[in-house]
Amino acid sequence: MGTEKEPIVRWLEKLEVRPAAPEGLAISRFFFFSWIALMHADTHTAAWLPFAELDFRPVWLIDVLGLGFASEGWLDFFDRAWMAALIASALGFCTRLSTAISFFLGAYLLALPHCISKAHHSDAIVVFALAAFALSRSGDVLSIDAWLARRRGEHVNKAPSTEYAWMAWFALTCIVIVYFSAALAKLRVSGLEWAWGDGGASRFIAHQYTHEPPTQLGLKIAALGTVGKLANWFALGLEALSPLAFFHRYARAALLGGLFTLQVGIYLTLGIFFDNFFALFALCVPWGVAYHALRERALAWRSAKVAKAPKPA
Amino acid sequence: MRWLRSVAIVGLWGFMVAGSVYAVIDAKEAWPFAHYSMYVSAEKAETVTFPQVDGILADGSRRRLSIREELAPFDPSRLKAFVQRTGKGKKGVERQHEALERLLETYEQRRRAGLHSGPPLIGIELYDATWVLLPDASNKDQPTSRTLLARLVH
Repeated sequence: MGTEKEPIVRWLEKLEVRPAAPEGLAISRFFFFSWIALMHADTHTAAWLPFAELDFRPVWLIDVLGLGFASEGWLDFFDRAWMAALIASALGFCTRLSTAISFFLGAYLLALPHCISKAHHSDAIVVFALAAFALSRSGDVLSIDAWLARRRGEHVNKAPSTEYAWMAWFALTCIVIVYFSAALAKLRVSGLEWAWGDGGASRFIAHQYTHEPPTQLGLKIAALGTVGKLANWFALGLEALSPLAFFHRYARAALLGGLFTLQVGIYLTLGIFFDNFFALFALCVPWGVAYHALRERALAWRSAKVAKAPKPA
Repeated sequence: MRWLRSVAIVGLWGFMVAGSVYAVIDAKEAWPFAHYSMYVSAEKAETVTFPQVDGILADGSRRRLSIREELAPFDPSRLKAFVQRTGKGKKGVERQHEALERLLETYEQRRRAGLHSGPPLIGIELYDATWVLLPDASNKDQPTSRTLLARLVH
């Protein structure tokens, strides 16, 4: 934790990425890894083994690395080790090691099911976020590591730095890749007809048959006709404009808020829960600002309470 | 070491962006790179087709299975792709038969382990169910037609 700036920090400063409090990254770390652990708590990769023997077509990552399904015993061990690493990462225990294990095992275990029958892309981008955390200093504060360091009398760095800001930009890149690619795919296949056409309405209706949306909101939007097509424009517009989030903080707040709302809307109307995408949104929230604002209020409240307390005679 | 970490972060970012651009241009999935081509059609659909699985009970009656719960780890679209892909090629018939055997075995193992509350089965059938779309989806429990894709009975 020296004072000399690392090259990545100097590069980011040139890109006008503002220094951020370490607590922001630490809180992001907690939410991200807790969410991933929660969403994959029932992962049982070995359940794919009987089917892998009949239909194994390795996805690019598995193919390039020359990997395949390990034995049942090893897969069970990897599942448990991954879960332990995710929890340790969330708590900031042996953070560098646990985030590294979370990435390596995560990439392997998440990739395997996609080698059978067909590849989905719902969890693909999370692999990059896991890799980024393995390279970050997310355990510097608000972690078991920091607590242990304090007990040993070591210095714990709490100064704001771009070191703690780049992860939010990385996550923003992940989000833009997902949504901008989705917009390009729609425009390439259907053009603006995607938003003008009646495909959106029939999609809302069809998902009532094929999925289990928690509401009938999709049917109501479909019944609105032309007005209902605003939902298509909302989705396509947000996705296509998502790269603007890099250029201004107001645009960033509006677009991220809109895309988050879109994701919630997809769940409510179509019944598709892209759980992994929500983890990425958590990384873009300025938790450090919120943390320090709350902390200052708490300190001010405590000072006021002490001042009001009757002094002993 | 510091340089190495900085290069690794920038390299990771560049790798992710470059791979994603390639996947979009090539319009191919190369997991973890994807082109996110989901719900791209603008055409109005009059019907929808979706896989369904029936379990065959000892008395010959059928029971609709919940694919996600009773045939885990599959989801409906992945199950259909799996069964259809195993049915292709020279030994397709044998492989598809084996695929259904393993599905039934998995169902039974999970049932015995108390992971679902379905009854014992002697067979399994995979269908493509088709519905004519109604604005209020009032017919969602009654497919307009069903096409048998694969069957296994002991």
